[in-house]
Amino acid sequence: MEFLTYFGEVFTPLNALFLLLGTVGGLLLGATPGLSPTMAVALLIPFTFHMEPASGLILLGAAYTSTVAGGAVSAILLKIPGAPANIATTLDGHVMAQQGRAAEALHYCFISSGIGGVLGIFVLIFFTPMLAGWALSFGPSHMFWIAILGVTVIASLDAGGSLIRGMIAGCIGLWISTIGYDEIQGVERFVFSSHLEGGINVIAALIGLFAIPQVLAILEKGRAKRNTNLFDIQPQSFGTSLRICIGKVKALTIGSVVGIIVGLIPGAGGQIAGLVAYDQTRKLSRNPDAFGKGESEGVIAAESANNAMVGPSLVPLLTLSVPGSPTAAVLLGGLLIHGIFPGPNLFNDYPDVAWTFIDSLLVGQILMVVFGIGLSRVAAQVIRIPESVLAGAVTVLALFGTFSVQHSYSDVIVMLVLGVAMYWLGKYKFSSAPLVLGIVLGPIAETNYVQGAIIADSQDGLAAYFLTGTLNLVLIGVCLASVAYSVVMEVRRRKVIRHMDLRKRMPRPTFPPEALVLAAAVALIWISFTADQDGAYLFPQVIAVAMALCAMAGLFSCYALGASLMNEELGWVQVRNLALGLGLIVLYVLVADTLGFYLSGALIFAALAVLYDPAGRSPRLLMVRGASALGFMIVIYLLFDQLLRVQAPRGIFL
Amino acid sequence: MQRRSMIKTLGAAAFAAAGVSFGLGLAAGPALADAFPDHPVSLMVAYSPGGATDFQARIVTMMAADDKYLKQPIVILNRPGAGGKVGWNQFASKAKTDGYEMAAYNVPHFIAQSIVFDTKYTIGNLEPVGNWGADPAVFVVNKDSPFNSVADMVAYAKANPGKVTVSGAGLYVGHHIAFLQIQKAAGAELKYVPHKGGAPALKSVLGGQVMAGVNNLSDAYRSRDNLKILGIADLERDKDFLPDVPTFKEQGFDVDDSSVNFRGIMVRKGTPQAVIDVLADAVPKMFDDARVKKQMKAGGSPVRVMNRDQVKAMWAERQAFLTELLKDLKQN
Repeated sequence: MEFLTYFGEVFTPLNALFLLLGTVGGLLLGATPGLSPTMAVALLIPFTFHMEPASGLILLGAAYTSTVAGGAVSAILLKIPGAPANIATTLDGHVMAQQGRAAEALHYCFISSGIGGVLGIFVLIFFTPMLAGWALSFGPSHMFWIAILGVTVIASLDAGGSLIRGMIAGCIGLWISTIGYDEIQGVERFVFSSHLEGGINVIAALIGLFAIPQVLAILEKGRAKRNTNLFDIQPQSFGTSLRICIGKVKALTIGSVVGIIVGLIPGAGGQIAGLVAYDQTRKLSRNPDAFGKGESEGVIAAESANNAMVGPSLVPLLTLSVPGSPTAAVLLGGLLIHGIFPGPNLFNDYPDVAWTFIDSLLVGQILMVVFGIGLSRVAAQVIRIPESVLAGAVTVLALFGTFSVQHSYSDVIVMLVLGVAMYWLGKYKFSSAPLVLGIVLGPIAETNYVQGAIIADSQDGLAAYFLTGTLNLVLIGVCLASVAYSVVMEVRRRKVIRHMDLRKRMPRPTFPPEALVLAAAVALIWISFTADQDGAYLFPQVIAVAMALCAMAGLFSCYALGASLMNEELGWVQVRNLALGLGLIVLYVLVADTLGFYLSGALIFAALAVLYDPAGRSPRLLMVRGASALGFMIVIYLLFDQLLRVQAPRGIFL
Repeated sequence: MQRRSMIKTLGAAAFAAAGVSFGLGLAAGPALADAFPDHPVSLMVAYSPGGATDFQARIVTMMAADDKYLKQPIVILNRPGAGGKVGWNQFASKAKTDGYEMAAYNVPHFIAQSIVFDTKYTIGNLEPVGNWGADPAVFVVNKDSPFNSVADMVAYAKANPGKVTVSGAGLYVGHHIAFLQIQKAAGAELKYVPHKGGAPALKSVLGGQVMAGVNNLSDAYRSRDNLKILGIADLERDKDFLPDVPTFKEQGFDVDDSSVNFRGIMVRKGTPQAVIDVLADAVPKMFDDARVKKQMKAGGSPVRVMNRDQVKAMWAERQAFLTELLKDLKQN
């Protein structure tokens, strides 16, 4: 109960101020695509140089807590997850927003984040010594199976699409993750263009695959009048939300428990927590078919999981000085610059710092809920922003967020290319989530397999290393159960589709993406089986073969069974509407490097906001939209360039 | 009609943009030549945020904006991947040569990689600015390990060839160089297990997934309660942090200091000499700042400040040594 004695420290005026700043700032940064929790915390490190150790940690801890939740705001409102951890939140959260339930979804998001977060920190407070050793016992074989568990889940993630298309998207994602150097042996793979030399950055892919299709979906409508009722916001009182949310005991429990377990395991990361929690909640739900159609439990499970992860991810850091996540690694730096060495003696040597920090995390969770709910009133209004303005703002942020990660212009180009491809695939009911998760999970599976194989070689061989031991067997069991469940569900769903006799109502696609994927898979099989350093091509080989099989199954179901789910054809009207906007976006990406981000950003923002406004163009509109473009860029400049020192592409102006 | 006004709008916007940028270009023109730097300078770190290089880079650059040094802040950006190859390849081929894009180097990592792999960087196309630190590699085992000395480990490895697994932070980084030297000196077959950075490699030792590890002195020092640090790959013991840990040479193994991880700042070749001179003057002074040194020591990171000429000599010397060592060891 020692943590209770240091609560006073959290509420000294200065510390309370930092807690507040960290929370509010974290929510805003988290909602910005590209600024992952790790990056947000890293950006704040310089500010802590001049602070007392406890104050500095409070700022960092509060930012960590609230960036994780903040990423859900854009996931719900715009279907653009702020970080990979919020991918699962988009699945039901954005559907809820489309149903006019944005306020409700945001409430659930913050309440469940708070509940999961507090539980996670209690685990940190009470069970740290007990769990630290257990957390370290996860070796490469276990991490490999955890990644495979994630892979088994991604295909069936999007309930709206077909399982086969989910699998194809997952395979594409896994393959994308092998582009660039392989992490262990340093062999360069699939570098078809110099822009791919550094591999495909996860954040760039996340932004491209989620944000760009959203922008293009707005642009394809051209200047047609929109159905404004679609994005209504029905108010719901906080009390009602709280009551309903707490009533969802099962989703909260599964989310929190999964988040805590995954958080404890070093190297697993929050993206898996949200994903696995969402999937488990759906599988254990009495009404799994409601998921993906605006089921609040989906939001609650995903968000309670990714915040429950925060506390436990610090367990190995504080007790053994081993950072369990990238964000924990950055926090370690925040401790070290003040000469505080985490480890077994931390709580004896610096009880004031350690406990004040942990207490502030606890208070931070509560503050996050309070400000999050407050913010959600304002944030939900994002939906009321004219779509053409939104398209401009998202385009600007997509470039900024992607570039800011590692100042790489190649990332920006990759982001745009992936985004346009995803928009096209989206027409055929492929979804972004399995693709991004493939990119996230691929390296975890591959790295741990390769490391495990080296270790196994010095022991009793591959089979003994990967297939024996209680923990391995449990994880394999969970993987098999996950696959079996998905197959059963798919068979059941196919019967329903057959019953509806979609063959008659759905036109067969003239050019199904499966054909292209199959062609690509064949090429990849050829490349990866004929490569010189075949040791480094084991994973690409497996992925390419799986991709080819899935594509063939997809083509078969498309033509032989006629079970195509395509219901949006990309017509000429849409292509014409798109052409101008997409042309401008491409131009923007090409000139931002020479013209400078701020000038070109203001121009594209204004151009899209004016050209795609259904009300038509008037000098007044031009003025208003020009001013909002300018204001938007000024806010970005002040907040990021001046305050946080995040650099954007420089040009002749700035 | 509609199309026409659309084109008009676009035309007007483009015209306005051109006008604005022209005006600003004129205004900014003479100012640019005046003094370097006139805006923030970036420093690319080829490892992830939170790693030892990233952490130290953030500390040693914190005083950059001070009037005594660059008068502009240094902004850290991370471009991790493949043991540093991703970041350095990009830097050596695409970074601007105006001095506003700098990178952190790790020796022997980048030199060793440029010898073994087909990289875009060599000591020939990079210009050192200054060195801030030197972190020797140490050999560690879990505190429950039966090994109490390097000799114990070697005896076991000789009886069980290939059974001793040793973790380290990737291929052809300082840890791997030390491993190769240890293996050669011991005359026994060991198994190297590369990880994505020092922290996961140390975790494998603490978690018992591997039997031993080569890691940074600073990281091992923090975890010393759960580890046994059996040897230090340097010419002398570390008096500040680990005075009781013997060097490999003391224990009869011929392992010198070639794996010591030197960290510093470099720019691309082609950067104007005047700009390099400004940096080469200010950067080592900044590393020597009392506050920087205090925080580095607090963080358990050994400081070794070297100026541009000293680093140039050190690079050339390592290049020669590593070419020889890797020619010898690659066959293993």
